[in-house]
Amino acid sequence: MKKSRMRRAVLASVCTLLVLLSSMNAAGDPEPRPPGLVNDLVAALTLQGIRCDEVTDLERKGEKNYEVECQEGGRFQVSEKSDGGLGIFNLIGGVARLGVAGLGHVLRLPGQILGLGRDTVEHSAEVALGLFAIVKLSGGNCDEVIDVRQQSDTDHTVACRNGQTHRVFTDDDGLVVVEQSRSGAR
Amino acid sequence: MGMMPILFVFLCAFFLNTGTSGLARAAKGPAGSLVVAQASPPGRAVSGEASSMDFDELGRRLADTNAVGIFTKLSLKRNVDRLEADLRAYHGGEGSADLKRLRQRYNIMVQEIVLMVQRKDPTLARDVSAARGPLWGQLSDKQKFANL
Repeated sequence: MKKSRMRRAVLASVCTLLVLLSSMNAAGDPEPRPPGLVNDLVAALTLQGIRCDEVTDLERKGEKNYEVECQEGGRFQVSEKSDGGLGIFNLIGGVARLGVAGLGHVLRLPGQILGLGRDTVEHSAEVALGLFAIVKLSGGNCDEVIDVRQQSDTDHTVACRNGQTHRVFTDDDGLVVVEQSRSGAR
Repeated sequence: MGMMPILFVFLCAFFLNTGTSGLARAAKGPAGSLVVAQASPPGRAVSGEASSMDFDELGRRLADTNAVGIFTKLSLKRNVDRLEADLRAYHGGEGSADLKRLRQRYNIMVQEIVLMVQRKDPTLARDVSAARGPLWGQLSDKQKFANL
C-alpha cells in the first residue's frame, strides 16, 4: 500500500515536471521558424523589385509557403511552387509576379521604375530593378530609381526619387560595394 | 484510476516530444535540409577554381551555400531564368534586346548574387565575381550557349 502511494507520488512528480517543461517550450516557441526567415523573405521580395523594408505580419501557410505583410503596403504569399520555382502572389492587388518565365516582363509593380522613358522600359526596367534590389539589400535608402548611369561593366550610379544617389560597383577583391554618393532634396 | 497517471505521463511525454521535434526542425538549415556544409572560410579565391567554374559548378555551390535562405535562392534563380530566356530569344533571332543590354543585365545580376553571399560566404562571392567574364563568354556565344 505504502509502495503504491510512493509510486503514484513519483509519477505525479514526473508528470508535473513534464507539464512544466512542455508549457515552457510552448510559450517560448509556439511555431518554430527557420532562422533568418524574415530576412530571407524580404530579400526574395526585394530581388523581384517589391518594396518591403519591414515585415509587419508573417503567417505560415504550409511547407515553404508564407504570407508576408509589408509595412510599405501589400500582403504577399511567397512560396516554392511545385515545379521548384518561386511563387509571389499579391493578396491585395492580385497577381504581382508569378514564378512563370516571361510574365515578369508584362506585369510591373508601379512606382519604382518611373522616369526611365517608355521606349526603353523593357531593358531599363530590368537594369533599374536589379540596381534597386542591390541598393536596398545593402541597406541603402532608395524609394524609386529614376536614373541609372553606367561607368563600366560593374560600376553604376543610381539616382533615386528621394534625392539619394548611390554608386554600385565591384571592388578589386570581387565584392560588391554600395556607396551613398549624394543626399539632398530634389 | 490506477491507469490515469500513466496515461497522463504518456500525454505529457507526447507534447514534450512534439516540442522537441519543433526545436529540431528549427535547427535545420533555411532550405529545410540539415546543415551539412559550413560556409567557406574567408579568404581570397583560388584563381584556378574560380576561372574553371562552369554553370553547373556555380549552380551547385549556390544551392549548397548556407549564406542565403531558400526564398532568396529561388528569387535569384527566377532572375537567372528570366535573363536566360532573353538570351535564348536573342540567339534565336527573337526578342528586342541587343547583346550590349543583355550584358549589362547579366553584370548586374552577377552583382546581385555576389552581394547576397559575400557576407557569409566571401569565397563563393569572389569566385562568382572572378567567373563573371568567362561565363559571359559562354552565354554570349551562340554555339556555346546552345551547348550549355
